[in-house]
Amino acid sequence: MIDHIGPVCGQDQAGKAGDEGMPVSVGMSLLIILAVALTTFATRVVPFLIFPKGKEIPPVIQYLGRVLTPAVIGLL
Amino acid sequence: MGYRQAFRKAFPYTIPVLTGYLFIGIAFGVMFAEKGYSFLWAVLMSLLVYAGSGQYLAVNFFVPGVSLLQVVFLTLMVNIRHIFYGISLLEKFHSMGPKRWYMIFGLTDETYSLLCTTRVPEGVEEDKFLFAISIMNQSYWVVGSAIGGLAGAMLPINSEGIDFAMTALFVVIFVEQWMDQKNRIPEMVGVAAAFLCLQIFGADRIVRLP
Repeated sequence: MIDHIGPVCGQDQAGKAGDEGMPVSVGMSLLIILAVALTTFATRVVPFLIFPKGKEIPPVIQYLGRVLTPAVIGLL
Repeated sequence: MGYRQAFRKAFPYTIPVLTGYLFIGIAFGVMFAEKGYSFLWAVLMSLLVYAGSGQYLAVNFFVPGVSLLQVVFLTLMVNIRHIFYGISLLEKFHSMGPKRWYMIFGLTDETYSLLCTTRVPEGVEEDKFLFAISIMNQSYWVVGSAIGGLAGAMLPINSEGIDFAMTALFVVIFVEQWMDQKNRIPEMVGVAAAFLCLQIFGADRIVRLP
């Protein structure tokens, strides 16, 4: 699925890789994990930023909240 | 009423997730170990990221020369559905104080599904009950990752096809929702949309999960 990910930003300090045969350096591995973690959290926190405590939630949004999730799970 | 009680009451509700997360956690750990990462890396990722399909996808990021921009973009593609999850839990979480930040972080497919469908039993405070569910779910995921990471490093496991565990879990959630809800139109719309896109774009061009 992800074969098309080729070298994009050049080789990542090839010398430092190799801790237990890791394909990427420790620093880069941490960066990747951090990037995935922050992106994932961002997708989860968005509704709470748009509708903070006390703000009225439009009925359309409430409806979407009820209906979309079963639809997404079915799609998956 | 303390947390002890909340955890004890919540545990039975999390058993389906326990079995599911242990297995797909193990599958993730094995795949990550095959890349050459020790189980501690799998645990770290499961603690910080905590996303089933997101972490399955992320295993592919650990190749020389990958760009962080691609990492962010592909993660966004897979996890964008989470944006909808918060909507139906806005009010519940807003009354949970600082705990809500962990609740938001822990909004995986399975946890979301559980939080929405479970009714809080008598004699337990809602916020503690929900918090207990989220904590336990992530602990299953972390433990599964650790087991998989250790097993993958010690045994020569061929992980081809192991990611099907994920698809199986989605089928289980789907069936549970199907039984649970009175209005089944949303589910059917979702399935129909998937088939329609499959026909239009062709199987090769769809990012299937896993």
